[in-house]
Amino acid sequence: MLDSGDSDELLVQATGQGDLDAFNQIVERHQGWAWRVAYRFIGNEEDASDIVQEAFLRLLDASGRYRPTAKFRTYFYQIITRLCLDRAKKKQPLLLKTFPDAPDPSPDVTDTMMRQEAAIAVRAALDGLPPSQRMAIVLRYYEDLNYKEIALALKMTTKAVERLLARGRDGLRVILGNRDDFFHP
Amino acid sequence: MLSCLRYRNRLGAYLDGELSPRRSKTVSAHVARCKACRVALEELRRLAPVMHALEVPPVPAGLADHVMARARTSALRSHMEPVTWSPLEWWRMVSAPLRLAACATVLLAFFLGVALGRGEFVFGNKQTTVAGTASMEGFEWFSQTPPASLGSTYLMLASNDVGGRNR
Repeated sequence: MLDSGDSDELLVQATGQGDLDAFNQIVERHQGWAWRVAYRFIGNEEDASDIVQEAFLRLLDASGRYRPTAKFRTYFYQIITRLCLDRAKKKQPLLLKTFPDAPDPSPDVTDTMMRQEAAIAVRAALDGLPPSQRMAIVLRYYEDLNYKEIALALKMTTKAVERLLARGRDGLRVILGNRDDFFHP
Repeated sequence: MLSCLRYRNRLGAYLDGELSPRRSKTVSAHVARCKACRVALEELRRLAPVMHALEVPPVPAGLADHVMARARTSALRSHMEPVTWSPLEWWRMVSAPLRLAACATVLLAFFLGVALGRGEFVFGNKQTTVAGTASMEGFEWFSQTPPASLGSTYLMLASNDVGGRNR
């Protein structure tokens, strides 16, 4: 009988044999980071929720064929990133004619408002990137994956990851670069 | 300028610690000499804290419950679906060594059967009846009427009875 300390790989294999309690444990353990990846990539709660639910159901369908040749987390990253990229293809691109201005530096503007402004600016900058660059940036900056891990998640070479990140960063610098408070504090 | 562009494209990997020691040293030496690349590197360094300004709302309440409800529905549906017989499914799922072992077992059984079957003719007595085959030493227990069975007793009584009538 499985307990809460069992490895993800064991839980997935148990799921493949019909153990929904094991699947429940997988969901509880991994919904947090799955949600963060999906939300940071897609930018809205409804789509992020759909992506995460679909990712877990695809994991459930595939659990009977799962072989622990790679870490579970790598495998699940592959599922989530694939769903995120497919969803991005279906969505209309977000075209912003103007980006949020730098916040008013006067003393009566609260820190909260400054943070909110910054968050909106970063969101807009991410949405301005092509999906594959955006995903590479999300995995690097928010999930702290190294190039090899990103390459496994996105099923590409580390060289391709390096190029995606370089272009993504250039894109972010161009979009955010007019904000003196970001790069020239 | 061309040289600078080549280094500029490597600055991100340099900052992430993803370059080999040799390449990292080359980039480091170039950045020490080139103001433009130094500025670009500094901007890249500042990008990380900027990116963390993006806030993420908490996981929606009930997300796990929604997933589990759909999982249970899916599991129930798969139980109710008619079972499709797929005789070669096991063949597709087993590994190559196991497939080889299965083939070898089938072939061995085949040749063993042929060899045993030929054994009948090697002795020169082509005994085609079951009783005849059963009389070979040690094989009588495999006949339809082995010794001491009800069948063999009946046959014995029947043959005695026929013999008695024929006297």
